Amino acid sequence: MQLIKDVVNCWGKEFKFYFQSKMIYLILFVYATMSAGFVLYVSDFYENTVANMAQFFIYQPGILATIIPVLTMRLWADEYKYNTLELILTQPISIAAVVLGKFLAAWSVAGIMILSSGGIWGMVAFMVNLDNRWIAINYLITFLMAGSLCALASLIAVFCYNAIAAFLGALALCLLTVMANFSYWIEKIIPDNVILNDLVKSFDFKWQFENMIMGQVGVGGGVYFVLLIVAALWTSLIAVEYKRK
Amino acid sequence: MKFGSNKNIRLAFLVAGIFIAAIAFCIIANLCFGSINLDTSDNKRYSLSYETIGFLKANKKNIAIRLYKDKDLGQKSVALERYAGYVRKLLEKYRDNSLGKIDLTIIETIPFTSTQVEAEKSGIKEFELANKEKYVYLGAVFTSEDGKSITIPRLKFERAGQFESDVTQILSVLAADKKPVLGVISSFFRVAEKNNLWEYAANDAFINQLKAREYEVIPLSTGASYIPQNVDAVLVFYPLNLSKITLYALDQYLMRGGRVIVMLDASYDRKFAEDDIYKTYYSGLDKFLQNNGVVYFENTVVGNIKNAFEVLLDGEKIKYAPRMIVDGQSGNEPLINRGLKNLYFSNASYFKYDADNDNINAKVLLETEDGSGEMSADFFANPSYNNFVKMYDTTNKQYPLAILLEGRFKSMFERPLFENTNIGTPPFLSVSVRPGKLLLIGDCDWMNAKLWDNKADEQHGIYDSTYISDNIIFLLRIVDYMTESGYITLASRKNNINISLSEALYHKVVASYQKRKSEIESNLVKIKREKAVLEDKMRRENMPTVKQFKTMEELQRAEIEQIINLQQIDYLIGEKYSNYRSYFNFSVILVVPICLMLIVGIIYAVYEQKTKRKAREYIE
Repeated sequence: MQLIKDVVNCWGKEFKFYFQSKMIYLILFVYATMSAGFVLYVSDFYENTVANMAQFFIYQPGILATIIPVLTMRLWADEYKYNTLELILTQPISIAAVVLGKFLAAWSVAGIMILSSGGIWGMVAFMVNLDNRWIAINYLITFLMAGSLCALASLIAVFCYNAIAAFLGALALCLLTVMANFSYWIEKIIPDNVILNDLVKSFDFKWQFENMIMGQVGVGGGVYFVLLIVAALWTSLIAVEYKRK
Repeated sequence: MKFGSNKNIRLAFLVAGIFIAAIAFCIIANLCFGSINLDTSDNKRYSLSYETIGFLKANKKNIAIRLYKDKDLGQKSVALERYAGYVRKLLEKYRDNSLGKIDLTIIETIPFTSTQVEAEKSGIKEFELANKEKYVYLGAVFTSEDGKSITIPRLKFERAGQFESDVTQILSVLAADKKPVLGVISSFFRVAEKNNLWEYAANDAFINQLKAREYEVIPLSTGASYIPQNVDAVLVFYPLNLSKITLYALDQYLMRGGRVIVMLDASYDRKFAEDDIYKTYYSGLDKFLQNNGVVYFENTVVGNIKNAFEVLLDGEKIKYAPRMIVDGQSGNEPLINRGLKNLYFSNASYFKYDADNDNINAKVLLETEDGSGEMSADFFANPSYNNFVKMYDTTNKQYPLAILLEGRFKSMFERPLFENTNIGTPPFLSVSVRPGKLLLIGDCDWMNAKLWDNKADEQHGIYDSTYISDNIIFLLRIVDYMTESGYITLASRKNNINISLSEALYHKVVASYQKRKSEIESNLVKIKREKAVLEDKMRRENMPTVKQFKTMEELQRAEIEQIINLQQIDYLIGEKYSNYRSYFNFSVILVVPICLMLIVGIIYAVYEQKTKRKAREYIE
């Protein structure tokens, strides 16, 4: 119970901090503009709209991988800069609560950011019949995927004393995760190996996400993203504890 | 330095360990639960329908499926690559549900190798892509154990919604042992034969679909004296001028356990019966149906205001109830109407089932929903906005539109129609010796494309019907069920958006100018007509008068003016369309994000004010 209270307190503090810094407005604007720009000018959206707005969701991993590092870069760097981490750790609050609170704050902001693209959905739904239930589920999947990117980016932030370094490190890791088309490379190196290809696909970020947004929400995909979050948060926790020692 | 004493190295190992463990867990989860998927797609696109699963379980023949897919499809066309993934997944589901009867092989084609040659030999055709990529193959070959083979040369993305329907249909054709025979009694076929239009009629989508599914379609005359024994079911539609002998043949066919599908527009039938000139067209089917407990209300037609089409009547846009969309019932048995969402009806006749025969089991397959009402059938002779509003009477009753009767029927004849049996008719039966089936649909216009496809050029009755409609699917399923060809294999169509965003925008713009445009067009028609009359008059007279020349000049001027007006409107439509597109882009890229920033800012400012006030109160 105490852990949940601590997490909520920590989340509240971090979440408020995003809005105090005014940075959030710029991030929201850049994200909404980027999403709309990719959809309208890259995906041939006017001619190829499909019921699940797939063209919109397909670009989300790339866009989020670029923007989420901006959200997480100051999560730990400011604590190191102002030496507030030592102060926090002397408080009667567990490290797990701090790590979780910070991650949840970043994830919540990412959620608001994803919701901000609802304007495109609304405007398209006004003109053509969309499958709104499917799109709503795709938004949830995108939110889950954003969570895994937030966890990875905050893991990098734990190791970096500088916000810029945290941003660049997280950007590199997120883009690598999103763009690494493992199954493609395995196919190139060891062709026609169906079993190996299927195995590799199970931890292919892009494949899992596309599979889910195309209507195959499976245990495999869900486990993949949840595991990514758990693994990244657990590692963050260990890293912070090491630093404390 | 002792290995492992450095805490950073230990940390690195720990981190690596965690991620390796996560990947291992992920692989295990995918291996164990990878096949458990929640199908969130529109119309359960990744799941097989009940019809398909029913067929796969009943199928006894071994069928091999070969899916040919370009090895580098992803690099040549991303959309096709995604569609190939979908096709593969669905075909795997066919294999998994077939109890070992279906074998699936995926062959990746490589240009200038034996795989390409094999694909082409099997009938797979190359895609012609806009990006000019060459040697792009995606197709499938289905082969049964007895050597029959059917090929889909190109698996097109546009047909994704019908993929399951297509595959199940192909499999059912390969699995069938004999061709089911459908006899058709229709004045349409009589007219077609008489005018040497049989070939044209055979191109009709419905008949085409039946033939593609290996049905044998036999046209029967409206004066047929008996139904041949090899006919599995008889379809009676547009039954004008049906002779008493044919009625007797149908009646006796039913007594012998036959299956009869009747599509009848009772209000038109009544009109023909009452009219001196057209009375020969009267079908007389009402008595036949009445004998089986189905009573027609010939003076009434039913409609549904809730699911009505919007049409222009006297320049006003109204909801035209006689054209409506009906959803299929959700019952399990029979599967004829399952999953059908948009059955387009026009001018449906009202009938009720009131049989005193306990041996007959009746099932309503389609009926109107809330918002239904009835109106006089005479309304259709001269519909107008005013009489529509006055005459439509909302009753909210559920009117049956299609009904299925199964069991032992009683003959409408008391004695044989022919005393002389030399003509080869079977002996007279007064009651069914075997259970028969009678299916009745309260409308003949079901195969009329105009009812569901606005792009159909002309309203030619059944000529230009298209396969896109749930109406046709319903009819094909009826034929499946009535002929007992095996199984109802026609899965319902899975929705695709068939209108692009640019088209939708364009229609919106055109709609805003529609009234003005139609006014100008009707003026133009009037002027042209007047001009033609005057021209004709001037041609006939040797010396046209000056007044006539002046009138002609005025008409020409007016015509040019109207043409310019029309061109102006077309220009305005184009202009407005591109403006709309720019507004759309502008608002999605700039206005929506700015509004969002403002909303978030305002919420935060209100929250901050509240917190500050609380803090002040606390200090005070």
